Amino acid sequence: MNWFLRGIRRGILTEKEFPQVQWPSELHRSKEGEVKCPTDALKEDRWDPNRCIFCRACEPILSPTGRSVQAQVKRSEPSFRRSFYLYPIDVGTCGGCNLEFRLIASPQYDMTRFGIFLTNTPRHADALVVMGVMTPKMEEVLRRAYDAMPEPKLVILLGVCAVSGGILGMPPDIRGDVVIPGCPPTPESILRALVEAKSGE
Amino acid sequence: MVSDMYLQIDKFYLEIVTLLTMITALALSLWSARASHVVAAISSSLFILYGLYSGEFRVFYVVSGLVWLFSSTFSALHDRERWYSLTFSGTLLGIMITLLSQNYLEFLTGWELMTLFAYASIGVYRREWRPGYTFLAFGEVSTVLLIAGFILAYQETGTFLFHTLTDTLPLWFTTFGFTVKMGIFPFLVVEWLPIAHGNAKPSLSSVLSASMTLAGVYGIYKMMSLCPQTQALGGVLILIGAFSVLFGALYSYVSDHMKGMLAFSTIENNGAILTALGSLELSADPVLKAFAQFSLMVYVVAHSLAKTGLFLVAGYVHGESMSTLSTQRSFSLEIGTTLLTASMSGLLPTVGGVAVWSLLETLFMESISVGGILGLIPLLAGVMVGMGEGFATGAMARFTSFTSLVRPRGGERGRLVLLIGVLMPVLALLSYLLSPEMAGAASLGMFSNSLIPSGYSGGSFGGISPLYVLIILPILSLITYLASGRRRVRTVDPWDNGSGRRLTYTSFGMANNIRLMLRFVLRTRKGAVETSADVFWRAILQLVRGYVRFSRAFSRAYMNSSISWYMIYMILAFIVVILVVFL
Repeated sequence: MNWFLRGIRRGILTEKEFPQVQWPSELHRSKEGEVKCPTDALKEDRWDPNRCIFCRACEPILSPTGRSVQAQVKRSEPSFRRSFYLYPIDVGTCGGCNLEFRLIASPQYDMTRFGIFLTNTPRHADALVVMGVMTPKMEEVLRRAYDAMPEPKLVILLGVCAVSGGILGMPPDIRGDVVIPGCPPTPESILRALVEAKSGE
Repeated sequence: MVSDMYLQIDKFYLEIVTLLTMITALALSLWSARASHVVAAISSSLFILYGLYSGEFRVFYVVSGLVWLFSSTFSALHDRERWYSLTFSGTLLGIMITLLSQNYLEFLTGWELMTLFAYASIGVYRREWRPGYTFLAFGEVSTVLLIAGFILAYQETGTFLFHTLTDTLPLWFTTFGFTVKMGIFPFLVVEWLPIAHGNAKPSLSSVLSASMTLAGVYGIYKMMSLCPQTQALGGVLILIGAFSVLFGALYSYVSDHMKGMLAFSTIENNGAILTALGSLELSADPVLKAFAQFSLMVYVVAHSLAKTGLFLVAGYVHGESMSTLSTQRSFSLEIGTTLLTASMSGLLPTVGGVAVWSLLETLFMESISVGGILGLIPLLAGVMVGMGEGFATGAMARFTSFTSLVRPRGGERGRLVLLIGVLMPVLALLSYLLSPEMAGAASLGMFSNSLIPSGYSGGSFGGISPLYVLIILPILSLITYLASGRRRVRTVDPWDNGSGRRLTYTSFGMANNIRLMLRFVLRTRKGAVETSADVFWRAILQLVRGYVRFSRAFSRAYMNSSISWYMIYMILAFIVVILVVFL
């Protein structure tokens, strides 16, 4: 009881300075200097979002701008406008992309209001959401899952590992129609990309 | 007639020789199991020979002999243990004495002998006491009822020999005694028969299911022939039998224990046989009675032989749960099992199909000819039997798929099973000889004497022609094959999420539709493990608990550990029983 009354009298103190959370977002060079990027995300002064894993090794030289990382939707399918079924396949992740992908079903983000649903078999799926680097045993499974999907279908590459291999290995050998960079991408950017892929507003 | 006298003497000698051979088999088992089984097979063949000359009960003897012949041949080929041959030949001896008995005492001797030897066999096989004791307990319940009935019969005739009676009370007692042995409702729900029969060696299981229950049917048939006709008993038997058909078939379909499935199928078929017996008792029309007799005999033949074959199939399989058993498919086993299960499902052109058809025809004809409120009984029974046969078809399809059709090919075994399987359509053709009439229907292309008609005094009802079906079936199949050409099949692998486990349709999964649809009847009880607790089992459990509570309360209130009050209770009970018997 004492700590309760004490807290009411004094007020709860957590941090003196409330930091502005800006990670992860687009980076830009803010200082001069040499940067050693573990994934070669910095090529000729251009920051490549498809390779950056936000490890902050470049921190004082590159700093976040606050703008969210944009996904590239190379092909969108209008027939999915009202109903879009995803089959997620994890071919070799650290688990981070899985957690963030799960969150689009949470009440805060609520994918179903956009007509996006999950299915547990590729035979009923409209889009294959590929996460993670390529591991040997999953090559066959990825191929079978892709073959089992009926036309029209989209392939969504989620996370830097699926796009360019990240820091873990080689990316899966599949051409992606929707590329969502980030390590891991935020649920908001995932949802934005999915809505664009199904030709929604 | 002199020739008749010679036939009598020959029969007598044949009977003695058969009995002695079986006793030899029993004695030989102390020395060599294989020799014992071979001698038992010889004795069974002699018994078949004896049965062919036996007149009224010919079918029972011949069928029992065939069942024993197949079972002992199987045991001779596969079993080497001497305790098993001892108990096996002892059981056969007991049933033989029962079937050959000339008076009540011999009947009871044979009955008890078979129960005791079978109990020993079940007990030693698993080294667990529970299945054996369950079997013995219900066997003794049936014996008590039999003794009561036989005492009443003795009281009336003054002799132990089988004489015609005028009182129907012995019939009631003995019939209920025999139905308990057949595993029929109400004791069906405690599932004593599947527990007992599922825990014995396959050849003994086939003898228990096919032959021991046949002894029960033989007993009821014999007592019916001695006592006057009671329509009330007929109605009761029809209803009990039909209910057992439905629920035996249901439990068989949802069961995943291979031998348990077959044991429930035995209960179902015994229910059908009981319905046939009840129909025999219910109708007074001689034409209908003859047809009911035909349906009874054909059903007895169909069930005993097919069940023997199926239990022998179980002997070729390793493992007990249908979902985890391992076996190899061979051509003989495949064809044999398919024919046997087709017979058990009641499909033409096997003898089982003729049996089910004739039973249903009997019931429908009775509901028309008996009429009135009593005519509702066969109608209701026909509905239940039909539903039960549907479940039986599903259960048998499941059985044959998962013991042979989906298994990998290997080996060439089971020729005995093929032999019994081939008997199924052959006996269907022979059933023309058993049927009361034969006819032809030229307008339908069935030449003379190829139709088994069903009729009652009010006219003819219908007909069936196994020969016709046996001929038409391959012709139609050939036409379909030629018209559609070779199979063009695209196999698609099921999506298994990359696990690599070839997901297959399990036997348990095949029965899930009924488990879900009838979940209000087939409930479960949550304990450490979720177990089945259907409504009938719960009802009997309530009765048992209620009785135990009453008994405890009564004894505590009345006797309260006092020996003198207990003795007074015993004397009073004794006096009451004597008074009831005298009145």
